[in-house]
Amino acid sequence: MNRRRFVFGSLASAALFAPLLKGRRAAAAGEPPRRLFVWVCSGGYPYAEDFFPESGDAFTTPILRALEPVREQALVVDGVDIRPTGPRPRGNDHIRSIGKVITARDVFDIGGDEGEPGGPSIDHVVAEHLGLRKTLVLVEQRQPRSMRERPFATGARRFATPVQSPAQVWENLFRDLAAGAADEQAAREATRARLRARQSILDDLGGELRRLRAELVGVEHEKLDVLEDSLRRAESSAAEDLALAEAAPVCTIPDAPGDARSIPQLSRAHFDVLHAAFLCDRTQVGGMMFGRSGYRWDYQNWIDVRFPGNAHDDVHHQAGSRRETYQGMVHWDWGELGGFIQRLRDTPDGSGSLLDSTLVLGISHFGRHHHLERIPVVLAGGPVRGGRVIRPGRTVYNDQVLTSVAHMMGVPIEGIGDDPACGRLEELHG
Amino acid sequence: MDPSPSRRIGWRRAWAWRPARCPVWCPALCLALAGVGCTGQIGEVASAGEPAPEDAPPDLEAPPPEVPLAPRMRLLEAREYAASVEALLGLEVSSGIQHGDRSNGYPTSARAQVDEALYTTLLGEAERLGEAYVAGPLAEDAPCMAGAPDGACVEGFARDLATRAWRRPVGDEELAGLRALWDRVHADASDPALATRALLTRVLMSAHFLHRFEVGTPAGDGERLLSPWEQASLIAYTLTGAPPDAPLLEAAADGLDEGERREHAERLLDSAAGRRTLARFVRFYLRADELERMAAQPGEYPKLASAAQGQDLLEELDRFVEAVVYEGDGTFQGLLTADRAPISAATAPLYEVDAEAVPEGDWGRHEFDPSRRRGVLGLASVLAAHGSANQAYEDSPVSRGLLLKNHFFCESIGLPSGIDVASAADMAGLDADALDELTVREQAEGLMNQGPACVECHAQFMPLGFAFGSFDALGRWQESRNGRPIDTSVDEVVVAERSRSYAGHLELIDALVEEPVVAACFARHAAAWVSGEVSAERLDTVARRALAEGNPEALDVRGLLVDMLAEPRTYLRAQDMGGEE
Repeated sequence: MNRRRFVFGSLASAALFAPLLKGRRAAAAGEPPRRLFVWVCSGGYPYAEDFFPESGDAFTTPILRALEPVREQALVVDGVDIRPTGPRPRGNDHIRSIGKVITARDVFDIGGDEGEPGGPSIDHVVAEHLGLRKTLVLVEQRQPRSMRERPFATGARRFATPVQSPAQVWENLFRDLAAGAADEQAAREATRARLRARQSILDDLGGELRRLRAELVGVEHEKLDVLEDSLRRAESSAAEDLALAEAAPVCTIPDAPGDARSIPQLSRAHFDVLHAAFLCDRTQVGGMMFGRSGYRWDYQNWIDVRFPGNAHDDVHHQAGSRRETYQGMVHWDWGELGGFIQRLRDTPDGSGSLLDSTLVLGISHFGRHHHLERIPVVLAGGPVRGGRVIRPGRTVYNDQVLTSVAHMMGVPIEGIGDDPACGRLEELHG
Repeated sequence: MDPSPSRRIGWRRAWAWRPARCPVWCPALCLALAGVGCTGQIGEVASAGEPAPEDAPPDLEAPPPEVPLAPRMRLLEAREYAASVEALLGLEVSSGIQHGDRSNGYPTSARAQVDEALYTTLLGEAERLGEAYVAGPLAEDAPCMAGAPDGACVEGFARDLATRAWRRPVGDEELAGLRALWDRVHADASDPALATRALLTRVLMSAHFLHRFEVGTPAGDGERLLSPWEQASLIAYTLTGAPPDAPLLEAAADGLDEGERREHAERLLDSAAGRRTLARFVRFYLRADELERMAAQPGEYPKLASAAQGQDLLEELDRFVEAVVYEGDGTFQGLLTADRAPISAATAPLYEVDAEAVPEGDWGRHEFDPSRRRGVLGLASVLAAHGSANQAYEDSPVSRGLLLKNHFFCESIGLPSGIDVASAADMAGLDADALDELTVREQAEGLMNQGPACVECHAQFMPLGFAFGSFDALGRWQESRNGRPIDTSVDEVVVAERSRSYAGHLELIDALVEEPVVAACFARHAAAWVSGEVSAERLDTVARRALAEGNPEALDVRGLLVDMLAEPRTYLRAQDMGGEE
């Protein structure tokens, strides 16, 4: 395999390779962005004034300072609540808030401290409508097995589980392309043959699934639906990959990430792979869950971070006495997103930057502690006019923000979730 | 400072008079203390969904409702997938294979779905495995497949591969499909190796490999009966985490009766894999699966003295379970009352034993001081799994209390909502300005004293945790902190519908041994492990008959699982239900 090293985050390398990318261009004026990135974090904030400026547009609060380097690109929305829907809109907020924040639908209780999604999340709505490829990742040391790590969904009771290992994300995104990027004709022909074989396999598996459906009438149809959907997407990806393999190499493939164990390593590695995925057009919709709901990260163990205490037990729930530590932790979280926005901004793409053609939504599923009101919402890129803090001055809900995101991406929905006619948040447009 | 924080904070008698309900405004510092709602350890009040295993205690007096289990296709969890690949191809899977589902508290994958990311991962893995197998073991396993195999060879290979992979005979139509795939890929690429890789990938990506089916066929009376092959997989994966072995498959070919199921269950449970799997079940029952992470990533647990200590704590529990179940009296009650623990050089100091008393890399046995420790709840490993990751002194009364309330009494706690943590934290700060000088129990009770609702909720389970306050977050014995004595006596805690008082953890353990509902609750959890079910009624359908077979007062752990897997009703399913509706 002839794989050259890709220097992540390097302006020079990005400038060098960007012209090679097939069909990529910055969004022209008036055109919707070509990519969407949805970042969901779990931290909330100790007190509202630690995140939101009391007035004006200065990004100088203890947490929002993290976005100061991208202030001109970032837009903050103050006053967004998670819509209180369902029979117990405030019950078990660790499940309800995570389940609702980007689906705007109440979750299904399944007993215990668990739930299942009530409907598709915004990333899926956009990806489905526009036929975009989606990559979802999780920055957390535990494998995603609960609602708490899985805000993404493709429908009612259908999780879209984010991938926890950056190396696995790389495998899923670049394995085929890496082989195809080799110069040798024989290697490329072998890749094409392999992809055609994959198409045959998937075709066969489709037949098996149809037979299975006939045998299992009334049984486990949700699982079969999800399996069928996954198969369909794999078929679509195989076709795309085959088309890519038929053409000349379009992108320099990044090296696979190494072993990432600590949260900073995982965060960095995931952002690296997603950046490369956007740059190489391997995915157009990215989603990142940043810590499970109720995460217990020990920032004190991280070099250069070192805030004492367990994020959950020692800090989150003792906000009064640990306010500064809390601010520092959440500042670090949002700083990671800020760094990614900065990289997108600094990566040339056609006549503009990757950020010009990418819409970024950063959102927390908690506001203050366990509250579902006044959640942090940050938008950047694409048509977003940054450097501002928007305060609607009335109660607005997450579904309106999500509808606005869909509109910005060129998806004309009237609403999303439990209020399908909720409309968009007009302040975000124009 | 005031030397009597309890008087100043006024918490001591609060347990007794608060109303027995969790109002919605409960300040959540109480939650916080220990993260009731934030740990995945507490159930909501039974509501729209199915109840969790701990949502309602087993009713020993009621006539057993016979509620058939739901038909399911259960995705092999990562360990089962790895064991299945190893058994089939002799290959190891990649480290990226980590999927699973624990929605009933156990890694039973009953609700797991193959979503897009997992499908992509499994497809990549299947292709990699196919490539590795063709490049490696194929030549020895199926010599005729090397080079340019003829049609008979391909067909024989496909039949053998699919039969073993799918754990059942392969139909003619299925076989023809596999053969056609090989031909198609070979015709396209003129590459028999690629065609064989495709065949392997196809078999490994089949729903019949990725899932174990518990669907059955209609058997009258509105029920379905699992096929012998489905029964064999249920027995083998439950007891060994691996596919059925050759003797079990051979028996399944002729149909399995109760005696044969019992014979194979006993055989598998006695195997090395069976012993490991039973220990894993107990680990999950004790909510001590944190030990797996402690062993794998000891750096995340600053409280540990060494990486070896994290690894040995995991092994300690496994060894203890094996010693009691296989070498001791084998009972659930024996788990609670055993008088000794395995110790290594790394764990010996936790029991105040000189590390040099145990040779490095070896294991010895430590007899408990009967005035301090008893049974599995006296193990450093179990106590460490329910303590702070950072501070060795910081035991977790919430985690320990919930373990007992949920998993020993099968009782749940209603989760309050609409909470105001910040206000509660402020109040706590004002009330207890010298918090760090107090014992963990004093801190907890002080911080919880934010209002009657807060106290009331936590009174349901926290005292059970306070009773174990003599053990720190590494399971070491402690009698005081900062010169303040640790009080482990608790009173007026309601479990099994009665108000109880315990002088300390030993008295509480004695009560657990005597309490019939505790053994019944253990049986329900065993049923959850076996069936993957969530519904208490369905679990009790499995548990009751097994309990009836044995003696609940000396509940044979091994026998309980064997009885469940021999019992015919374990293999009946409802006629027509999706399981998820």
